[in-house]
Amino acid sequence: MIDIDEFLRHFIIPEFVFIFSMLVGALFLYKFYYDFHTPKVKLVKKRVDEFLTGLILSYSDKESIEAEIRGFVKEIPLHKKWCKRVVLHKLMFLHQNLRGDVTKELYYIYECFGLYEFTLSYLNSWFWNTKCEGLVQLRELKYKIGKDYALKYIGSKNQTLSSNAYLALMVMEPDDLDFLIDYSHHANYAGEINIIDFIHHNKPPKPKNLNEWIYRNEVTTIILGLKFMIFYNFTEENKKILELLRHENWEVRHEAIHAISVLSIFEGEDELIELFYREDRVENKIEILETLKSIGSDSTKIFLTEILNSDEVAGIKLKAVFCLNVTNKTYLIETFEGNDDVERMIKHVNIKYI
Amino acid sequence: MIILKEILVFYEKFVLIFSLTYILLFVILGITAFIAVRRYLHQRYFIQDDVLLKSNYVPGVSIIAPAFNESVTVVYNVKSMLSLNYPQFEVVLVNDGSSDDTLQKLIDEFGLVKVDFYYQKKVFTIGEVRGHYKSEHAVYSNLLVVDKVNGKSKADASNAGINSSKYPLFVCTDVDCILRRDTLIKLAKPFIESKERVVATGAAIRISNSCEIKDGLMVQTHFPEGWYPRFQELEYVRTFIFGRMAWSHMNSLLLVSGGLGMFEKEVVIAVGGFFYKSLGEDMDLITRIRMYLHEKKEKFKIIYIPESLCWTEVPSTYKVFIRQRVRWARGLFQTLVFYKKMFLNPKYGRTGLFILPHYFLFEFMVPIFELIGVIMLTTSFIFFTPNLRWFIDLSLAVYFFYLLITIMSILFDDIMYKSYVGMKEIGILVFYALLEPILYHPVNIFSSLKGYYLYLRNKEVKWGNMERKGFTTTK
Repeated sequence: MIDIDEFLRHFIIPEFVFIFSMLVGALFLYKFYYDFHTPKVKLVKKRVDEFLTGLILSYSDKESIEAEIRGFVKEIPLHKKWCKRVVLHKLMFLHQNLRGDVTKELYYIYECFGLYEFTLSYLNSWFWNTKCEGLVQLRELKYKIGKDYALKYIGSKNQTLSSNAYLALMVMEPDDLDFLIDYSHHANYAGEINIIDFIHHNKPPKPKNLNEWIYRNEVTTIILGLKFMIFYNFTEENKKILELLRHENWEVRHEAIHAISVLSIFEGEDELIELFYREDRVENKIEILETLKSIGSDSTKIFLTEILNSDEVAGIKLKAVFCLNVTNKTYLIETFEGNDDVERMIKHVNIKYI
Repeated sequence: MIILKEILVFYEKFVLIFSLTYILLFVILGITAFIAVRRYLHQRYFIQDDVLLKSNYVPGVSIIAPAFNESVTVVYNVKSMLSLNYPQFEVVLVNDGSSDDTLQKLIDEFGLVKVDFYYQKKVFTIGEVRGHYKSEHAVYSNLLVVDKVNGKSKADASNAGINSSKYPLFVCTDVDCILRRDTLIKLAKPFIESKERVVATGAAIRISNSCEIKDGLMVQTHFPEGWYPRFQELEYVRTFIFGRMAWSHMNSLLLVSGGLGMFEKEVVIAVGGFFYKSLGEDMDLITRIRMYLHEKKEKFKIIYIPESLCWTEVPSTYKVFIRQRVRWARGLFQTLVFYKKMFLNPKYGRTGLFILPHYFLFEFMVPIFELIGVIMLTTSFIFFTPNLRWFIDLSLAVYFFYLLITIMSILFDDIMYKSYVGMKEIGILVFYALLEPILYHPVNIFSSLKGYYLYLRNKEVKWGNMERKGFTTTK
């Protein structure tokens, strides 16, 4: 015990006290630095805001822009990374919020401040997250000169890096999205959301090879293909979409059901009713009912009546009542008069605040 | 006497080995937490929050908030929840048979009317549901109030909320919690990003005592006033930043706080919802989900994110504090007893082989070991001449290690979130950190032991009767 005691007394305890003092010191120093540094950053931000807004709105020629920037860089600590980031973020903000020829001036300002080199330092970093930040900068500025970097990282094994590279490339080359057919192995649900968000906001031309996407084996490519078809109201592959109702992956089936609804593929009604009975995912059953609400005919009426008289779970039955309430309200009320459970569901679906 | 001496020596050795193991475990947890936080911060470039905010493809979320006699703060809190940023969500407030005017306040403020809601009992509840209320005003269309008879547990109220909710994900929170506006996005993100099935997510909870709130929104966080809230501030920072992040990284979380957690509704319904008899319903639910999914041999993740998304009022008096901690201790005891079949059972993977043994040894047993330690020490002082020098050295080593963990957590927290204003607050925190092991820790140990004792005596427990002071409201 004595040895351990000595070890504790002469090594462990002094070590702990030393680390404790260091940590407390670091805590205070960090707070001091933060309190001291923050007002400086705020001041630089304000000056950069004023300068860049003034510069953009002055519509000056290239020489004057260069001269003004040369003067301005003497007033701010541009050699510091944080300062470069302040300028860059302001440029990204302006690029997102301004339209027209003025964006060309923004690129010139970006280069005059030496910020492309700054972005390159990110792109050439060892760390994938820093590379991602560089790609985000290129993407936000839609700076096509950096396209090679996006291409370089497209094949990266790192999912986040590859996804960012794809997005950057999409933004820089929105007129040719054919390459997205190969995106599948990198994508997950978040990646799909990113792409769909891009096409919704930028409305790029339809990829020329879109009809091939849903014939691929990769689940993500098929799902993306269906989403694109919905967006572009692409109705040339309706037959294949109906075939996808038999796909082994439930997410593909789900997207196909949704596509039938949005693209109003009326010939899918019987297939959907058939699918309902063999489908094991509740989400898909609900999506089928949702779709039948918009494309259903008399077969749907009979089918929904069957569902309401069956032992299906209450959630499905409630959806069926929703559906019948929209397609044939009188029939619903008359047929199920006296059926206490369905009557309560009818009351529920007719609550005007829901 | 010789036997007694031998027992004392044995216990001394045991404590030494136990302490070293404990220290080693914390070092591993610290390194893991650091890696996990770094990874989380780097992951932010994958999908940006504003993309999710505009998307039609994010899963809908129901916020379930049980309320029992919360008349003082309920209106502010509902407003706070309604003002969250997320494309599709609803607030399901469950009035759990309040005896005050909680329901009336809600009716008056939000223009609620009783509706013919089709209530589906997907999970069991005891307290009968008296009715559902919706607002006549379109601006509050995503508010649903469920009025039910008190079921004597938060779990029962939460289950009624689950049965009334409509979205595939739900957040369980306490009605007195103030949530950050982007709470739902942050908690839903792992469900969207992960390629593996995520069944629950949680985030850091902070202390709202002394914070400034306006219309249910956090205007300015302040360091809490008073001994108990300040000690709890230290404890929360340490637990959430240090411990949970590490456990999450090892996919070994056994607790997603009842104050803030997002769950996949399907799995929660499959395991029967919250257990109404549970004294620690949050830990019980996660343990049951783990058991269920291990039995089904399904891969899953429970993820914790290092963001302060929720502020809650913590007990500020000794009496209320003890009551809360006693309930937590009983909950821990109950969970370990209920799920003892998982203990060291390979069928339950890491939950059986690693997580539950850890909780048993390093959470449940610690107060008992400390009590035995005090008895041994006293015996030693009475009957023998103890090695005082050794005792002081060991105590100092443990004390400074405890301090290191706390200060490291504060530093981590301040770098990430800048939670504290000025050097003064940092100074106060360090001062309280120095006192915590001496003044606060014994109270905690006492509460735990009392909780174990009451659990063994099977005494009834009541929930949620915390006296609220309300918030400082700014104009």
